[in-house]
Amino acid sequence: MLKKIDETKKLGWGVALVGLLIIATPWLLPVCEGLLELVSGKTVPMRCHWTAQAEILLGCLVTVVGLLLAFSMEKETYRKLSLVVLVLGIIVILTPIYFLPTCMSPDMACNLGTKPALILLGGITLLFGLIGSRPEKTSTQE
Amino acid sequence: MDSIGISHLVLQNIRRKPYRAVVIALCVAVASGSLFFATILLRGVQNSLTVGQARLGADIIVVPEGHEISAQEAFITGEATSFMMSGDVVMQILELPSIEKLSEQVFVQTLTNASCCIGEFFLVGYNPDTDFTISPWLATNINNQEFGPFDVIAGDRILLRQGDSVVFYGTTFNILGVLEKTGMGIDRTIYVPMEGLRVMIEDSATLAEKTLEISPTEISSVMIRVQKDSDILDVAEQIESKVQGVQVFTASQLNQAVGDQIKGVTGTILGITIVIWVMSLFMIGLIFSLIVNERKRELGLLRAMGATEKFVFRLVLSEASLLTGLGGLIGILTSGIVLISFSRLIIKRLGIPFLSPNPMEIILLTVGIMILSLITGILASLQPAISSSRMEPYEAVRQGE
Repeated sequence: MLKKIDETKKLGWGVALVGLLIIATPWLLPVCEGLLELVSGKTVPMRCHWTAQAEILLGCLVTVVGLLLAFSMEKETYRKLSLVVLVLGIIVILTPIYFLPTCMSPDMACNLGTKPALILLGGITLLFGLIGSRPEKTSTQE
Repeated sequence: MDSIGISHLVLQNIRRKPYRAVVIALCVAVASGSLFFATILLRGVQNSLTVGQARLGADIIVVPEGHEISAQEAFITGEATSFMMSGDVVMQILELPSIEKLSEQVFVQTLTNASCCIGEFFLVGYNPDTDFTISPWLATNINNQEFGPFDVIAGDRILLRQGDSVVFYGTTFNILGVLEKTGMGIDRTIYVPMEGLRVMIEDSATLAEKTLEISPTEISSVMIRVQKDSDILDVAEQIESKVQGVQVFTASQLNQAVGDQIKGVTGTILGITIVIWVMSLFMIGLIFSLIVNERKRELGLLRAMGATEKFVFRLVLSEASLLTGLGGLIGILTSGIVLISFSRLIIKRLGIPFLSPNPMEIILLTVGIMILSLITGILASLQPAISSSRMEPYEAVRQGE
């Protein structure tokens, strides 16, 4: 039982750390800086700016769920929170690809650094979610 | 029976001391990952230079004085640039012996808000009558298809495909085809027939946001192929001494420039890798000596229960090689993931050309590094394995108490 709690805590802190890295990614590997001029003359940020904003929000969610995992004591809560982590991981991966895609040109800053980093971190989040939500082995001893 | 017993015992030992197992695996993971990374980087650069040089086709490149570096960067990374010299240079070079073929080019940078793409691209005007850079590709891929002055060829990294239209400086061009990837500057270049480029330059005054100030007789570079059996460096020196206001570099000097650039980086990584590997060897050897000392009683009991010397020897070696093998695999996988995810960023920051090695090379490299990792475990634990297998069971049990 104590070993299991210890594992939960480690996983939770791991998820929280990955969440912080997701938040930090747009600063460490910034998206494109330029502004786009519309036909009306108005300038707007490039679309990868919104990708970064969305990923910061997702990073906050991942961090919070990670902290909840670290302090959860109930087996069932732990499993459900791990499923949430799994889903968040999938969303983190899909956001720069599908939901709020980055710029088209593969040589733009957002595609060189930000996007691959977020996909990688999303993959790690997904992995943690899978580990935490796996069915428990029935054992005669604890 | 023996092998089942060994694997069960090895896994049990690893589970008992997981942090120690992680440390051993991590040392080898760092070394193997660095080696994999440095080797792939080096091979990728060499690959790109071979393919790129073949595509370029020129032995010597002549550019205006003071523009050698920017010209080299344009060829290596596709960094758009534009410089001009008088077209009279062509006639002066033709007077020299040993010139087999010669073709002039004009370099133009696109505007940052060109209709196709964000960022500057490199337009290269070529003479279809004398060119030998793009013409071989045209001959192979376009066959007898007629093409006009506004039919252009795009590099692989430009987001344009065959049949697309694109506007540069107010003039519309059609994409005739896309070149194969080379990993060099050619991938970010658009080759435009000289006639079309000159029309674009002239019409830029009325059609484009920015007027191109390029005279019809000006050129940016001259690509030269020397006669067989001629000394390329000799010819290059002749050109530099006889033709005023130009700088000359050879294709091999271009390779040299890239080679020097990459040598520093890969040399450092390889140096660090060797140091880490040697240190890992000693550290793992030390750890296994301590492990064997710590488990004297256990090993003595195993011997007393009928395990042979060979069994104990294999037990220690198996544990070491499993951990180092796992470390090697983790290092290669981590390095591979980093390379796949961030290759474009790394290439851009280092300013090097890169074309991924073929899959067989990568597989052979992986196998080689895995073998090296296993050998590290075996070598490091050899002495402890020998000494533990030779222990007298009774003495081992007594000393272990």
